[in-house]
Amino acid sequence: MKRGGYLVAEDSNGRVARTATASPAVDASVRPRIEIINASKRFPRPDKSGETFTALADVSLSVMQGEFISLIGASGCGKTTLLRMMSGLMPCDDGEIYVSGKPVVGVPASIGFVFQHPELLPWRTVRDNLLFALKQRRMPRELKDRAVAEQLELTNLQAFADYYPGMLSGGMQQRAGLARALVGNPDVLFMDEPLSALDAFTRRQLQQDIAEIIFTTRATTVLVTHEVDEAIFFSDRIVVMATSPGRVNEVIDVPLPRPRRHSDLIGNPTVAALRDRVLGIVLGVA
Amino acid sequence: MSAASGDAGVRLSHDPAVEVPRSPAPAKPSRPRSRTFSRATKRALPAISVLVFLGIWQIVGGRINPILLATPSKVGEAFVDINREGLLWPAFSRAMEVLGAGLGIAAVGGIALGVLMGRSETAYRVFSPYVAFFQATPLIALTPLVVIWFGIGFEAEVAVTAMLAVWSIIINTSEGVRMTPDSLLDMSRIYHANERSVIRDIAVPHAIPYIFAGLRIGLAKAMIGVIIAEMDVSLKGLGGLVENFGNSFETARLLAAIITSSFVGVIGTVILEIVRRRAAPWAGKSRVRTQV
Repeated sequence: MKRGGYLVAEDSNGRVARTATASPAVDASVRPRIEIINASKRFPRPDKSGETFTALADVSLSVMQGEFISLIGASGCGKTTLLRMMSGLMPCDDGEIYVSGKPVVGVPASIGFVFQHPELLPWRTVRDNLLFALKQRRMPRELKDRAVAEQLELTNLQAFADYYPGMLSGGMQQRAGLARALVGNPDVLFMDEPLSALDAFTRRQLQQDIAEIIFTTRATTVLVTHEVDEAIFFSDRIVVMATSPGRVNEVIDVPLPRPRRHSDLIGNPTVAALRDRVLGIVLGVA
Repeated sequence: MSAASGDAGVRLSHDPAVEVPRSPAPAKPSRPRSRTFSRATKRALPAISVLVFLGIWQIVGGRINPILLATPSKVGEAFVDINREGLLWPAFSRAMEVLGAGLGIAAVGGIALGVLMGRSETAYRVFSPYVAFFQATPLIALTPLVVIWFGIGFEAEVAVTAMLAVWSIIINTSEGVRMTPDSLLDMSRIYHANERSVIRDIAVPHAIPYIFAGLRIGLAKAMIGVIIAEMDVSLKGLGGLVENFGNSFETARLLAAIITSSFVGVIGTVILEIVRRRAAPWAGKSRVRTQV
């Protein structure tokens, strides 16, 4: 339906079943959910010299179904640019990007996006903001309402369904932003520093909630962050990027079961070692 | 905190509005000066100011030629008189009708063109020279041409009113639509919103404070249109009364007619504010920078 070709059969089985039934018989299903092949991006220099600077040079990366990866790196490493290219908000100049086996031309079907700021419509209630994500879907209104109600429950927002975003705290707003991103049951979820504007306590709480929600939905997730701890907390793999030009420096596995809880990670030697390693690469001392 | 904010704090504590409700505290040298008015007096200050002004006007007006300036009491009598003669209410309601029809047409047309110009770069480039030109032109000079086109009736007055009001509405609407944050437009692209949805769900709601700022400015210009059109075109309504009383040196009645026209504008403003609050309950008090 929404995705042509070889992935249709999986769709009808539902997500959890899909990973379980992935077998050599369905050959194409082992194809990554996201494939980036030698992607580059150049921007004109702001000084109007007509020259360009290379924001991303020759990036290749694959993300498997259900995987959670984080893009981390200093500002200017092109992590947000890469995210915007994957989500179709920005075209790449060279190379190819595939999402769900289709080349990305414009925004792919069935993705969700959590922005740095919630980007809720201030003139719509939380419920109507979620409905906006389903507006262009061809499905009966009752099904949309049910999907929204279920998503509000999953994100613990039932009590705030009829609030306007301006009446909610920053954490609650971002929770609603996550609910909107997930209400369409997306195959891929993109998140662009979604928690960076929140205080440390709210952030930790929301990290745990998000980790659990995403784990249950099995959505493939790409997170842009500049917090090493956040990347370790969420990710199956951490993609450490470098600047000038923006490129993938190193990809680091996080060999810990998901979903994680902060309390479980305290004093964990694996986490400590990972943190040192990622920080070392980011700071250029490793 | 910085020294600057410390300064601000000191200044704040000397502000009478902050100081007065407090219970007695150790007196500071600067304090008595800030106790010039009690809080009740301060609340009543606007009314007191008007009463004092009317009193001075009454005294001064009583000593000079009543053709030059009528006293407030004479203006009050004139109100009663022209009401009794059946002149006031028809003139008032006719002005309201011209204002409503003219501003209504200007609002519909101005918002439509403003949204088009806000969403389409081509439309913006095509229409903005005309908008800039007419916004800068004293359009009231076109009134004779409007009479040639529409005659001297109600339609001509509505046309003059709409012609004066529409440009501010176009400019503010297109500005509000163009200021729609890119981040919200990105969000709409993620969920594959079509242009119709972008306009209805994002651009126009975002522009509502701007649209109402344009309508308020448009209303002020429309009021000029209403009165001038009646003075120049039909010699009916409030403008007609102003013209006639002026020509016959009936200064008290002239002022009564002018004050009535102020009421028309104030009522229009109040109605706009009520509509704005209903149209944009999330927006609260509008703090939009207006374009002309």
